[in-house]
Amino acid sequence: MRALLSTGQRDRSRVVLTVLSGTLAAATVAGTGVATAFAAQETARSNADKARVKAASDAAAAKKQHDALVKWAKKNPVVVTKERKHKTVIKHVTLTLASSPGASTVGGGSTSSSSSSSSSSSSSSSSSSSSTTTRKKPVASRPAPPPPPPPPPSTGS
Amino acid sequence: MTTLTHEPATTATVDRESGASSWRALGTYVMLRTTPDAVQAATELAATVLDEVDVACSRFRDDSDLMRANAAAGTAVEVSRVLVGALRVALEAAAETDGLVDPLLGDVLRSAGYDRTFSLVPANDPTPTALPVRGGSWRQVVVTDTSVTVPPGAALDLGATGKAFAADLVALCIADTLDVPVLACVGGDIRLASPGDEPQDQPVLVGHSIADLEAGGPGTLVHLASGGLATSSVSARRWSRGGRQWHHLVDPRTNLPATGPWRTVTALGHTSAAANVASTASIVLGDAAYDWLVERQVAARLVDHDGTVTHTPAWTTSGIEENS
Repeated sequence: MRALLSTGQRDRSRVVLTVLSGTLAAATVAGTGVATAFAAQETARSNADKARVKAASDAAAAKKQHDALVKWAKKNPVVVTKERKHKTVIKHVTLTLASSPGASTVGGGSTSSSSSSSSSSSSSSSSSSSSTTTRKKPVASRPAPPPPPPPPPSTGS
Repeated sequence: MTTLTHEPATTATVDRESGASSWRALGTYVMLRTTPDAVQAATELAATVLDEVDVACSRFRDDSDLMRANAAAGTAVEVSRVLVGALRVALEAAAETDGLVDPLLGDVLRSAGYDRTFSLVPANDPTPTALPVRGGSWRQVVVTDTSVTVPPGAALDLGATGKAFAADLVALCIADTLDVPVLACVGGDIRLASPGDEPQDQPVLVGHSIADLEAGGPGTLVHLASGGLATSSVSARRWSRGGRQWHHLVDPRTNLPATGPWRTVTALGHTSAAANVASTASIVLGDAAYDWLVERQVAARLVDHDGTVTHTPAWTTSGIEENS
Protein backbone atom coordinates (compact mmCIF):
# COMPACT_ATOMS: atom_id res chain seq x y z
CA MET A 1 0.00 0.00 0.00
CA ARG A 2 1.27 3.37 -0.89
CA ALA A 3 1.63 5.73 1.97
CA LEU A 4 -0.33 8.99 1.81
CA LEU A 5 2.61 10.98 2.88
CA SER A 6 6.19 10.52 2.19
CA THR A 7 8.53 10.12 5.10
CA GLY A 8 9.71 13.69 4.68
CA GLN A 9 6.20 15.01 4.49
CA ARG A 10 5.25 12.98 7.57
CA ASP A 11 8.19 14.33 9.53
CA ARG A 12 7.41 17.91 8.52
CA SER A 13 3.74 17.40 9.34
CA ARG A 14 4.72 16.02 12.73
CA VAL A 15 6.96 19.03 13.37
CA VAL A 16 4.28 21.45 12.23
CA LEU A 17 1.71 19.66 14.39
CA THR A 18 4.02 19.77 17.38
CA VAL A 19 4.69 23.48 16.87
CA LEU A 20 1.01 24.21 16.41
CA SER A 21 -0.07 22.28 19.47
CA GLY A 22 2.72 23.87 21.52
CA THR A 23 1.74 27.30 20.37
CA LEU A 24 -1.89 26.56 21.10
CA ALA A 25 -1.02 25.32 24.55
CA ALA A 26 1.10 28.41 25.26
CA ALA A 27 -1.62 30.68 23.91
CA THR A 28 -4.16 28.91 26.08
CA VAL A 29 -2.03 29.37 29.19
CA ALA A 30 -1.38 33.02 28.35
CA GLY A 31 -5.03 33.65 27.60
CA THR A 32 -6.09 32.03 30.82
CA GLY A 33 -3.60 34.20 32.70
CA VAL A 34 -4.80 37.39 31.06
CA ALA A 35 -8.41 36.50 31.70
CA THR A 36 -7.65 35.65 35.31
CA ALA A 37 -5.72 38.93 35.81
CA PHE A 38 -8.50 40.91 34.22
CA ALA A 39 -11.07 39.24 36.40
CA ALA A 40 -8.95 39.89 39.49
CA GLN A 41 -8.54 43.54 38.52
CA GLU A 42 -12.25 43.93 37.98
CA THR A 43 -12.94 42.32 41.32
CA ALA A 44 -10.46 44.64 43.04
CA ARG A 45 -11.97 47.69 41.33
CA SER A 46 -15.42 46.61 42.27
CA ASN A 47 -14.36 46.05 45.89
CA ALA A 48 -12.64 49.46 45.95
CA ASP A 49 -15.77 51.13 44.62
CA LYS A 50 -17.88 49.40 47.22
CA ALA A 51 -15.44 50.41 49.97
CA ARG A 52 -15.42 53.99 48.72
CA VAL A 53 -19.19 54.18 48.72
CA LYS A 54 -19.33 52.65 52.19
CA ALA A 55 -16.69 55.07 53.50
CA ALA A 56 -18.57 58.04 52.06
CA SER A 57 -21.78 56.76 53.59
CA ASP A 58 -20.10 56.22 56.97
CA ALA A 59 -18.54 59.71 56.83
CA ALA A 60 -21.88 61.29 55.97
CA ALA A 61 -23.52 59.44 58.84
CA ALA A 62 -20.74 60.47 61.23
CA LYS A 63 -20.99 64.12 60.14
CA LYS A 64 -24.75 64.00 60.55
CA GLN A 65 -24.33 62.60 64.03
CA HIS A 66 -21.63 65.18 64.84
CA ASP A 67 -23.81 68.04 63.61
CA ALA A 68 -26.70 66.76 65.64
CA LEU A 69 -24.47 66.52 68.71
CA VAL A 70 -23.14 70.05 68.18
CA LYS A 71 -26.68 71.33 67.80
CA TRP A 72 -27.73 69.51 70.94
CA ALA A 73 -24.65 70.73 72.84
CA LYS A 74 -25.43 74.33 71.93
CA LYS A 75 -28.88 73.97 73.40
CA ASN A 76 -27.64 72.01 76.39
CA PRO A 77 -24.34 73.49 77.52
CA VAL A 78 -22.60 71.33 80.03
CA VAL A 79 -20.08 72.73 82.46
CA VAL A 80 -17.17 70.38 82.91
CA THR A 81 -15.48 70.87 86.22
CA LYS A 82 -11.77 70.21 86.12
CA GLU A 83 -9.75 69.55 89.20
CA ARG A 84 -6.80 71.91 89.28
CA LYS A 85 -3.92 72.34 91.58
CA HIS A 86 -4.95 74.94 94.12
CA LYS A 87 -1.43 76.11 94.65
CA THR A 88 -1.16 79.77 93.76
CA VAL A 89 1.58 82.32 94.03
CA ILE A 90 -0.87 85.22 94.04
CA LYS A 91 -1.58 86.01 97.66
CA HIS A 92 -5.11 86.86 98.65
CA VAL A 93 -4.02 90.26 99.93
CA THR A 94 -2.29 91.08 96.63
CA LEU A 95 -5.32 90.06 94.61
CA THR A 96 -7.56 92.11 96.85
CA LEU A 97 -5.27 95.11 96.49
CA ALA A 98 -5.18 94.81 92.68
CA SER A 99 -8.96 94.50 92.38
CA SER A 100 -10.13 96.65 95.23
CA PRO A 101 -12.77 99.32 94.56
CA GLY A 102 -11.11 102.27 92.89
CA ALA A 103 -8.50 100.19 91.06
CA SER A 104 -10.01 101.26 87.72
CA THR A 105 -10.84 104.81 88.73
CA VAL A 106 -9.18 107.28 86.39
CA GLY A 107 -8.18 110.81 87.26
CA GLY A 108 -5.14 112.38 88.84
CA GLY A 109 -6.92 113.92 91.77
CA SER A 110 -9.72 111.50 92.34
CA THR A 111 -7.76 109.27 94.67
CA SER A 112 -4.75 109.93 96.83
CA SER A 113 -2.70 107.30 95.09
CA SER A 114 -3.41 108.64 91.63
CA SER A 115 -2.65 112.19 92.63
CA SER A 116 0.56 111.00 94.19
CA SER A 117 1.24 109.34 90.87
CA SER A 118 1.24 112.66 89.08
CA SER A 119 3.07 114.55 91.76
CA SER A 120 5.60 111.84 92.26
CA SER A 121 6.11 111.80 88.54
CA SER A 122 7.15 115.39 88.80
CA SER A 123 9.38 114.59 91.69
CA SER A 124 10.67 111.75 89.59
CA SER A 125 11.86 114.19 86.99
CA SER A 126 13.46 116.38 89.58
CA SER A 127 14.91 113.47 91.45
CA SER A 128 16.12 112.20 88.14
CA SER A 129 18.04 115.36 87.46
CA SER A 130 19.26 115.69 91.00
CA SER A 131 20.26 112.08 91.12
CA THR A 132 22.34 112.74 88.06
CA THR A 133 24.50 114.96 90.20
CA THR A 134 24.45 112.81 93.30
CA ARG A 135 25.09 109.62 91.42
CA LYS A 136 28.15 111.09 89.85
CA LYS A 137 30.23 110.70 92.99
CA PRO A 138 33.14 108.75 91.63
CA VAL A 139 34.22 105.84 93.76
CA ALA A 140 37.66 104.87 92.65
CA SER A 141 37.58 101.30 93.83
CA ARG A 142 34.12 100.53 92.47
CA PRO A 143 33.84 99.26 88.89
CA ALA A 144 31.68 101.19 86.47
CA PRO A 145 28.06 100.12 86.70
CA PRO A 146 26.67 98.16 83.75
CA PRO A 147 24.82 100.21 81.17
CA PRO A 148 21.14 100.55 81.98
CA PRO A 149 18.76 98.34 80.01
CA PRO A 150 16.76 99.97 77.23
CA PRO A 151 13.52 101.54 78.43
CA PRO A 152 10.58 99.20 78.13
CA PRO A 153 8.00 100.27 75.56
CA SER A 154 4.44 101.29 76.21
CA THR A 155 2.54 100.83 72.97
CA GLY A 156 -0.74 99.57 71.70
CA SER A 157 -0.59 95.80 71.63
CA MET B 1 -7.97 66.80 67.34
CA THR B 2 -6.95 69.88 69.31
CA THR B 3 -6.66 73.19 67.52
CA LEU B 4 -4.15 75.56 69.01
CA THR B 5 -5.89 78.89 69.54
CA HIS B 6 -3.74 80.45 72.22
CA GLU B 7 -0.09 81.37 72.23
CA PRO B 8 1.97 79.53 74.85
CA ALA B 9 4.36 81.62 76.93
CA THR B 10 7.98 81.68 75.81
CA THR B 11 11.11 81.26 77.86
CA ALA B 12 12.33 84.49 79.37
CA THR B 13 15.56 86.21 78.47
CA VAL B 14 17.12 87.43 81.72
CA ASP B 15 19.91 90.02 81.97
CA ARG B 16 21.31 89.62 85.48
CA GLU B 17 23.66 92.56 85.11
CA SER B 18 21.05 95.17 84.44
CA GLY B 19 18.06 93.57 86.17
CA ALA B 20 16.00 93.30 83.00
CA SER B 21 14.05 90.41 81.54
CA SER B 22 11.63 89.90 78.68
CA TRP B 23 9.47 87.14 77.23
CA ARG B 24 6.04 86.58 75.70
CA ALA B 25 2.91 85.62 77.61
CA LEU B 26 -0.83 86.26 77.27
CA GLY B 27 -0.18 86.63 73.53
CA THR B 28 1.93 89.76 73.97
CA TYR B 29 5.30 91.04 75.15
CA VAL B 30 6.26 91.10 78.81
CA MET B 31 9.16 92.98 80.39
CA LEU B 32 10.47 93.46 83.90
CA ARG B 33 12.90 95.97 85.35
CA THR B 34 14.10 95.34 88.89
CA THR B 35 17.31 94.94 90.86
CA PRO B 36 19.97 92.69 89.31
CA ASP B 37 19.97 90.41 92.36
CA ALA B 38 16.23 89.81 92.17
CA VAL B 39 15.62 89.66 88.45
CA GLN B 40 15.80 85.88 88.13
CA ALA B 41 13.38 85.22 90.99
CA ALA B 42 11.16 88.10 89.89
CA THR B 43 10.95 86.69 86.38
CA GLU B 44 10.03 83.23 87.62
CA LEU B 45 7.40 84.68 89.93
CA ALA B 46 5.98 86.88 87.17
CA ALA B 47 5.80 83.95 84.74
CA THR B 48 3.83 81.94 87.29
CA VAL B 49 1.47 84.83 87.99
CA LEU B 50 0.85 85.28 84.27
CA ASP B 51 0.19 81.54 83.91
CA GLU B 52 -2.47 81.86 86.57
CA VAL B 53 -3.98 84.86 84.82
CA ASP B 54 -3.95 82.99 81.51
CA VAL B 55 -5.72 79.92 82.84
CA ALA B 56 -8.30 82.14 84.54
CA CYS B 57 -8.93 84.88 81.97
CA SER B 58 -7.96 83.68 78.48
CA ARG B 59 -10.59 83.78 75.74
CA PHE B 60 -8.44 81.48 73.64
CA ARG B 61 -8.30 78.31 75.70
CA ASP B 62 -11.36 76.18 76.34
CA ASP B 63 -10.26 75.23 79.84
CA SER B 64 -10.02 78.78 81.16
CA ASP B 65 -12.44 79.94 83.81
CA LEU B 66 -13.63 82.71 81.51
CA MET B 67 -14.48 80.30 78.69
CA ARG B 68 -16.29 77.98 81.07
CA ALA B 69 -18.35 80.93 82.26
CA ASN B 70 -19.05 81.97 78.66
CA ALA B 71 -20.08 78.42 77.72
CA ALA B 72 -22.54 78.32 80.60
CA ALA B 73 -23.98 81.80 80.07
CA GLY B 74 -27.08 82.24 82.14
CA THR B 75 -25.90 80.08 85.03
CA ALA B 76 -23.47 80.69 87.87
CA VAL B 77 -20.09 79.07 87.32
CA GLU B 78 -17.54 78.53 90.05
CA VAL B 79 -14.32 80.28 89.06
CA SER B 80 -10.93 81.17 90.50
CA ARG B 81 -10.26 84.24 92.62
CA VAL B 82 -8.12 85.61 89.80
CA LEU B 83 -11.03 85.80 87.38
CA VAL B 84 -13.22 87.26 90.10
CA GLY B 85 -10.60 90.00 90.64
CA ALA B 86 -10.15 90.63 86.92
CA LEU B 87 -13.90 90.93 86.44
CA ARG B 88 -14.32 93.29 89.36
CA VAL B 89 -11.72 95.55 87.75
CA ALA B 90 -13.39 95.20 84.33
CA LEU B 91 -16.87 95.95 85.66
CA GLU B 92 -15.60 98.94 87.58
CA ALA B 93 -13.97 100.13 84.34
CA ALA B 94 -17.32 99.78 82.58
CA ALA B 95 -19.07 101.73 85.32
CA GLU B 96 -16.33 104.39 85.31
CA THR B 97 -16.73 104.92 81.56
CA ASP B 98 -20.49 104.37 81.34
CA GLY B 99 -19.88 101.26 79.30
CA LEU B 100 -17.26 102.59 76.89
CA VAL B 101 -14.79 100.02 78.21
CA ASP B 102 -17.04 96.99 78.00
CA PRO B 103 -16.09 93.45 79.10
CA LEU B 104 -18.98 91.87 77.14
CA LEU B 105 -17.58 92.23 73.63
CA GLY B 106 -16.53 88.58 73.32
CA ASP B 107 -19.12 87.66 70.71
CA VAL B 108 -18.45 90.79 68.66
CA LEU B 109 -14.73 90.06 68.44
CA ARG B 110 -15.36 86.38 67.74
CA SER B 111 -17.80 87.21 64.95
CA ALA B 112 -15.24 89.59 63.49
CA GLY B 113 -12.74 86.75 63.25
CA TYR B 114 -10.74 87.44 66.41
CA ASP B 115 -11.46 84.01 67.82
CA ARG B 116 -7.90 82.92 68.55
CA THR B 117 -4.71 84.51 69.80
CA PHE B 118 -3.98 87.44 67.54
CA SER B 119 -0.86 85.97 65.92
CA LEU B 120 -3.10 83.21 64.50
CA VAL B 121 -5.85 85.50 63.18
CA PRO B 122 -5.65 85.74 59.35
CA ALA B 123 -4.52 89.22 58.35
CA ASN B 124 -6.95 89.30 55.45
CA ASP B 125 -9.81 86.83 55.50
CA PRO B 126 -12.21 87.44 52.59
CA THR B 127 -14.90 85.24 54.13
CA PRO B 128 -18.08 87.31 54.26
CA THR B 129 -19.51 87.84 57.69
CA ALA B 130 -22.61 89.44 59.09
CA LEU B 131 -22.25 92.47 61.31
CA PRO B 132 -21.63 91.23 64.83
CA VAL B 133 -24.42 91.33 67.34
CA ARG B 134 -24.35 90.69 71.05
CA GLY B 135 -26.75 90.05 73.82
CA GLY B 136 -26.85 91.22 77.39
CA SER B 137 -25.27 94.14 79.15
CA TRP B 138 -22.22 94.37 81.37
CA ARG B 139 -24.62 95.49 84.11
CA GLN B 140 -26.11 91.98 84.08
CA VAL B 141 -22.82 90.23 84.84
CA VAL B 142 -23.00 88.83 88.36
CA VAL B 143 -19.77 88.29 90.29
CA THR B 144 -19.54 86.79 93.76
CA ASP B 145 -16.42 85.83 95.68
CA THR B 146 -16.39 82.42 94.02
CA SER B 147 -18.60 82.52 90.93
CA VAL B 148 -19.48 84.41 87.79
CA THR B 149 -22.74 84.53 85.85
CA VAL B 150 -22.58 85.76 82.26
CA PRO B 151 -25.86 87.07 80.82
CA PRO B 152 -27.51 84.69 78.32
CA GLY B 153 -26.41 85.35 74.74
CA ALA B 154 -23.31 87.26 75.79
CA ALA B 155 -19.62 86.45 76.13
CA LEU B 156 -16.89 87.99 78.26
CA ASP B 157 -13.66 89.34 76.82
CA LEU B 158 -11.08 90.96 79.09
CA GLY B 159 -8.91 92.23 76.24
CA ALA B 160 -9.29 95.82 77.41
CA THR B 161 -8.37 95.61 81.08
CA GLY B 162 -6.97 92.09 81.37
CA LYS B 163 -3.34 92.84 80.55
CA ALA B 164 -3.32 95.94 82.73
CA PHE B 165 -4.74 93.93 85.62
CA ALA B 166 -2.02 91.35 84.97
CA ALA B 167 0.67 94.06 85.11
CA ASP B 168 -0.75 95.27 88.41
CA LEU B 169 -0.74 91.75 89.82
CA VAL B 170 2.80 91.00 88.66
CA ALA B 171 4.26 94.21 90.08
CA LEU B 172 2.44 93.93 93.40
CA CYS B 173 3.39 90.26 93.80
CA ILE B 174 7.07 90.93 93.14
CA ALA B 175 7.29 93.97 95.40
CA ASP B 176 5.48 92.14 98.19
CA THR B 177 7.20 88.76 97.89
CA LEU B 178 10.76 89.80 97.01
CA ASP B 179 10.76 93.20 98.70
CA VAL B 180 12.28 94.97 95.69
CA PRO B 181 11.18 97.81 93.41
CA VAL B 182 9.89 96.65 90.05
CA LEU B 183 8.45 97.82 86.77
CA ALA B 184 6.15 95.28 85.11
CA CYS B 185 5.13 95.74 81.49
CA VAL B 186 2.48 93.46 79.96
CA GLY B 187 1.79 94.37 76.35
CA GLY B 188 2.56 98.04 76.99
CA ASP B 189 0.46 98.29 80.16
CA ILE B 190 2.93 99.27 82.84
CA ARG B 191 2.86 99.17 86.62
CA LEU B 192 5.49 100.26 89.10
CA ALA B 193 5.53 98.92 92.63
CA SER B 194 8.05 99.05 95.44
CA PRO B 195 8.25 98.30 99.15
CA GLY B 196 6.74 101.20 101.04
CA ASP B 197 5.65 102.75 97.74
CA GLU B 198 9.01 104.43 97.40
CA PRO B 199 9.07 106.44 94.15
CA GLN B 200 11.29 105.15 91.36
CA ASP B 201 12.68 106.70 88.24
CA GLN B 202 11.86 104.35 85.39
CA PRO B 203 12.20 105.47 81.78
CA VAL B 204 9.54 104.19 79.38
CA LEU B 205 9.43 104.61 75.62
CA VAL B 206 5.94 105.51 74.41
CA GLY B 207 5.03 104.63 70.82
CA HIS B 208 2.21 103.56 68.55
CA SER B 209 3.07 99.87 68.37
CA ILE B 210 6.08 97.61 68.75
CA ALA B 211 6.22 97.12 64.99
CA ASP B 212 6.16 100.88 64.48
CA LEU B 213 8.94 101.46 67.02
CA GLU B 214 11.04 98.70 65.46
CA ALA B 215 10.54 100.29 62.05
CA GLY B 216 11.95 103.57 63.37
CA GLY B 217 8.62 105.17 64.17
CA PRO B 218 8.41 108.02 66.69
CA GLY B 219 8.96 107.23 70.35
CA THR B 220 8.71 109.55 73.32
CA LEU B 221 10.68 108.95 76.48
CA VAL B 222 8.81 109.46 79.72
CA HIS B 223 9.86 108.90 83.33
CA LEU B 224 7.62 107.17 85.81
CA ALA B 225 7.86 107.33 89.56
CA SER B 226 4.94 105.16 90.65
CA GLY B 227 1.55 103.91 89.59
CA GLY B 228 0.70 102.88 86.07
CA LEU B 229 0.96 103.93 82.47
CA ALA B 230 -0.94 102.49 79.52
CA THR B 231 -1.09 103.08 75.80
CA SER B 232 -3.97 102.19 73.48
CA SER B 233 -3.59 102.42 69.75
CA VAL B 234 -5.61 101.56 66.69
CA SER B 235 -2.28 100.79 65.00
CA ALA B 236 -2.01 97.48 66.82
CA ARG B 237 -3.97 94.26 66.27
CA ARG B 238 -5.48 95.11 62.93
CA TRP B 239 -7.03 92.58 60.55
CA SER B 240 -9.46 92.45 57.68
CA ARG B 241 -12.55 90.23 57.64
CA GLY B 242 -15.05 90.11 54.77
CA GLY B 243 -13.67 93.32 53.32
CA ARG B 244 -14.02 95.27 56.59
CA GLN B 245 -10.96 96.61 58.37
CA TRP B 246 -10.95 95.73 62.07
CA HIS B 247 -8.84 96.59 65.08
CA HIS B 248 -9.22 95.37 68.63
CA LEU B 249 -10.64 98.58 70.11
CA VAL B 250 -14.36 98.13 69.58
CA ASP B 251 -16.91 100.84 70.25
CA PRO B 252 -19.64 99.09 72.25
CA ARG B 253 -22.17 101.66 71.02
CA THR B 254 -21.80 100.41 67.45
CA ASN B 255 -20.14 97.00 67.87
CA LEU B 256 -17.66 98.16 65.24
CA PRO B 257 -14.03 99.27 65.43
CA ALA B 258 -13.71 102.65 67.14
CA THR B 259 -13.38 105.52 64.70
CA GLY B 260 -12.19 108.91 65.71
CA PRO B 261 -9.31 111.30 65.48
CA TRP B 262 -6.92 109.47 67.82
CA ARG B 263 -4.41 106.95 66.62
CA THR B 264 -2.74 106.45 69.99
CA VAL B 265 -3.52 107.57 73.52
CA THR B 266 -1.19 107.18 76.50
CA ALA B 267 -2.43 107.84 80.03
CA LEU B 268 -1.18 107.79 83.57
CA GLY B 269 -3.09 106.22 86.42
CA HIS B 270 -2.62 105.20 89.99
CA THR B 271 -2.76 101.61 88.70
CA SER B 272 -2.11 100.12 85.30
CA ALA B 273 -5.80 99.26 85.06
CA ALA B 274 -6.78 102.87 85.75
CA ALA B 275 -4.36 104.09 83.09
CA ASN B 276 -5.69 101.54 80.60
CA VAL B 277 -9.29 102.53 81.26
CA ALA B 278 -8.41 106.14 80.45
CA SER B 279 -6.48 105.33 77.27
CA THR B 280 -9.05 102.83 75.96
CA ALA B 281 -12.02 105.07 76.72
CA SER B 282 -10.28 107.97 74.97
CA ILE B 283 -9.88 106.01 71.74
CA VAL B 284 -13.55 105.02 71.85
CA LEU B 285 -14.74 108.51 72.79
CA GLY B 286 -12.96 110.14 69.87
CA ASP B 287 -13.53 113.88 69.72
CA ALA B 288 -15.00 113.99 73.21
CA ALA B 289 -11.94 112.36 74.77
CA TYR B 290 -9.95 115.49 75.57
CA ASP B 291 -12.71 117.11 77.64
CA TRP B 292 -13.45 113.76 79.31
CA LEU B 293 -9.81 113.42 80.34
CA VAL B 294 -9.46 117.02 81.50
CA GLU B 295 -12.63 116.79 83.54
CA ARG B 296 -11.15 113.81 85.38
CA GLN B 297 -7.69 115.39 85.65
CA VAL B 298 -6.08 112.51 83.80
CA ALA B 299 -2.53 112.99 82.62
CA ALA B 300 -2.73 111.87 79.00
CA ARG B 301 -0.98 112.24 75.67
CA LEU B 302 -3.12 111.94 72.54
CA VAL B 303 -1.72 111.49 69.05
CA ASP B 304 -4.06 111.92 66.09
CA HIS B 305 -3.83 110.17 62.74
CA ASP B 306 -1.74 113.01 61.33
CA GLY B 307 0.81 112.71 64.13
CA THR B 308 -0.26 115.87 65.95
CA VAL B 309 0.25 115.47 69.69
CA THR B 310 -2.13 116.88 72.29
CA HIS B 311 -1.36 116.85 76.01
CA THR B 312 -3.85 117.26 78.81
CA PRO B 313 -2.86 119.88 81.38
CA ALA B 314 -2.19 117.15 83.94
CA TRP B 315 0.31 115.53 81.58
CA THR B 316 2.09 118.80 80.94
CA THR B 317 2.34 119.74 84.61
CA SER B 318 3.44 116.26 85.66
CA GLY B 319 6.68 116.84 83.81
CA ILE B 320 7.11 113.17 83.03
CA GLU B 321 7.91 113.68 79.39
CA GLU B 322 11.57 114.03 78.65
CA ASN B 323 12.23 116.97 76.38
CA SER B 324 14.17 115.91 73.34
